Amino acid sequence: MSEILLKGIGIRKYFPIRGGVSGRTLGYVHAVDDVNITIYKGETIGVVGESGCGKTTLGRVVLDLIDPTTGALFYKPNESEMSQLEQLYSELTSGGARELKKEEKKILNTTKDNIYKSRRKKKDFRSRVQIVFQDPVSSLDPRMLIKDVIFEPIKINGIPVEGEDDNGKQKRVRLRGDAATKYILDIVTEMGLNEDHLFRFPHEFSGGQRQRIAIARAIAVKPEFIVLDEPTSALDVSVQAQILSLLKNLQQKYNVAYMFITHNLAVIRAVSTRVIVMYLGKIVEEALTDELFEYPIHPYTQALISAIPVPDPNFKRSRIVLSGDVPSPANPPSGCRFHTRCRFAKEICSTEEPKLKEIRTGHVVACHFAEDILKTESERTGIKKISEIAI
Amino acid sequence: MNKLVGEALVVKDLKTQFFIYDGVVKALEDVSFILKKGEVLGIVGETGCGKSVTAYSIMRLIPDPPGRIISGQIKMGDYDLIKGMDQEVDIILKKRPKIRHHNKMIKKNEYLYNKIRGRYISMIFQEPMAALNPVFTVEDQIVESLYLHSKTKILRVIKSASEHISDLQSFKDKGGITSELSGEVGVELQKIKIQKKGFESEGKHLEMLIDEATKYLAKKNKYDEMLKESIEVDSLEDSLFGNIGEEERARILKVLSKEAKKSHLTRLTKRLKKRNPDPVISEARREAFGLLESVNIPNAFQILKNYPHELSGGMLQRVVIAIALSNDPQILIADEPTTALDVTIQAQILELLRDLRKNRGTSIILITHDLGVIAEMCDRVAVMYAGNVVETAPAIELFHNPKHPYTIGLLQSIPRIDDPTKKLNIIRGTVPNLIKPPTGCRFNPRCQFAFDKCTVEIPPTIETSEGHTVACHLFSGKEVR
Repeated sequence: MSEILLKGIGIRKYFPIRGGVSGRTLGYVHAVDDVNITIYKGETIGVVGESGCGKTTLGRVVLDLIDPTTGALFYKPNESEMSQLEQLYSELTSGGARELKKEEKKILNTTKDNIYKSRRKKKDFRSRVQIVFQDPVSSLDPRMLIKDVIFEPIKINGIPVEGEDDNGKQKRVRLRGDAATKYILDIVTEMGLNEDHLFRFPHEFSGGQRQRIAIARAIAVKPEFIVLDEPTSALDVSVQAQILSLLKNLQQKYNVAYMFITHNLAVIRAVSTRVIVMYLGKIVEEALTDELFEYPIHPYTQALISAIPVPDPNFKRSRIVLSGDVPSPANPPSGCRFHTRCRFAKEICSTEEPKLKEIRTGHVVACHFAEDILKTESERTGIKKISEIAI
Repeated sequence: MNKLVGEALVVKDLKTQFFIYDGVVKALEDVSFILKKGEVLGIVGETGCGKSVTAYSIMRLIPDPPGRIISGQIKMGDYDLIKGMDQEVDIILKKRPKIRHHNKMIKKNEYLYNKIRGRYISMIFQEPMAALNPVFTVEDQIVESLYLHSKTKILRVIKSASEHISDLQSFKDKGGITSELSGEVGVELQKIKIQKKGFESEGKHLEMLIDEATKYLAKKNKYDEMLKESIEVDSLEDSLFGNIGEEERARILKVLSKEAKKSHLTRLTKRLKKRNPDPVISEARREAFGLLESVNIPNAFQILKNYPHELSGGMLQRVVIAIALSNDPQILIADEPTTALDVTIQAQILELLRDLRKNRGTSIILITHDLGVIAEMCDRVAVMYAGNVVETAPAIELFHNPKHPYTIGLLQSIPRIDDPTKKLNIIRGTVPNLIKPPTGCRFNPRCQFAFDKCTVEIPPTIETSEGHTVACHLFSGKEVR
């Protein structure tokens, strides 16, 4: 696989719940709980899950927009170093204990390349990454002209030019005057807008156009990584198709990596190369897109895929309807977090937390019965591909 | 019984406009469709195409000002909901020509429609949180709907129950209640026990039942009168929507307009405030409990006492559905019922709607922008674009043989989970501004097949095959490009 762009190890984000007169901490919302994530150069990684599963929080922590409770984030790390660190970390956490151990914390906090801890790295990192938010209405300043909206990141960060300086930082130039105007105009035409639009305010645009402006703002500084936080959820299907194809073209041109956060599995299938499925702050399954949709193994993923309405009245399939709601992330169930809604749940599920295991090549699942499910599933459907691969 | 044959609702040439500062928004332009009995009709289209305005027009919930229904027919059975209302206004105006005060007029005007809303046609809204009142418990809100519309039903239940309880009273007098009650009384007692489940602890509840019954018996005459009165009103209202002559209808309207003076709502709020509510309310509470169980809410007794903010989105939507179904409506309008929900919860809600339709035979109008939901739920589909119905067809026909260029574009722009290799097609441009809609066919600026005639003439609606209608010049026969 291509070069690693970003690597996060042991990322946790707990939000305190405050209450009472003195505002003491009553508990924690476990928004993201012990997540390891790798993002490769130029790929699109899809993050999918129900509302409240921590996918947006993960996106923000990966961008260093909010401080994580613990965790380490590395930008373009050395691969051998990484595998060592990962090994060390997984050994420490192998007990499956919820509480963070001291040593663990130490390792994560003192590693020198950790972006969360190094101020110098932080600044460089932030000029290389961008985000597009879900709601294009609230993410644009209503009192700024579109030209200013797009110019602001260029003014602050400049745009990258070839080469790096002595400290490994990207060389950047700040554009001014006519050069800047021409640059902005180029970007805007690429987004399917024209010169007139530059001198309008955000409220004069439709939802789809606003989302185009938000994408233009993100792409203006030529980032290497963009987090797309539900960029099409507020849009109509026809506009959604426009935006998705725009994003695809931009990726081909600038070789930018996307983290595509959404609850819509059909969109994920259309755009992403790799998928992460999250449930209550944990990654439950991770695989390449085709692999995941053809052989979903985790019971949650199976239910999620079977719940999507397919626009074809003749399309028949067995449907798994999950009972009940997602439990509160402030007080997640013991053991496997999904066991309260799982149809395969047994005793072990409520006591022991499953670890992520590689079931097939590149297909990682956190379930005690992953092998059994894969076996029965391959027997039932008789897919040759599965039986050919030794488990 | 031919309950499932014929049309439940006919909408014809409906025209709704909004008069705002910038001009007149022509939100609906000659919208026509038919809802058959017991079917699910899907209405699909982009934001701003008039899906919700159609629903609101049927419910007469268009805010006036700025909105107004200009013309058209909405027929439920034989009764024209728009014309019928106007007739009623005429009657009131003839009687008291001096009434010019707007608010008063609306109040009178709305009386009949309040009877239709919630009882014959009810609606599920998109945002369940916004559809419920945050300061009342779930129970109060269900009871309100039941009390306003199903009083006859409730009074009948009370009557039958109280008769059996009075039998029990004599049992008690004879030497206490034994656990083994035989015969009809025993069976009835079991029924009441089930109804009362969760309301009182086992030991106490019989005593309380008897107390209640005694209280009720004391007021028996009053409730008998109420029952009689409400049966009368009910039968009058029911006959209004059947095949009756014009004169008869006018007579009934006259009688009913007297009813309008009594405000049920004030009566209800007074009663809800009382510490010991009268049997009508407590019976409605029992009914509410049953309703919540019928929409698969676990732990329904606790949920009844909760306020809306204490429940999750899926739960709230179930509560809203329970309220909508509380009076067994003939027509249910679901306006994007699952848009605000997660896919797994959406699957639950759709399953519920499917069951309800199977068990109760309600006709459903399902408004959504998700073609996947349409494919799973609907028998027939109407596609809307910029205030026009551009295509109607049976669901299978529409998905396999779409005719209108807009429908084709829409179907090709959805990412498919079953066929990821398919390339997404794009409809260029955006939805037009409805203050100045394009002349001729409203889709012509975005249509890839558009030719001269499209910008001049409004396309007629043509039936290409049975039940499949298209409004497009490509199919008008002569001038095929």
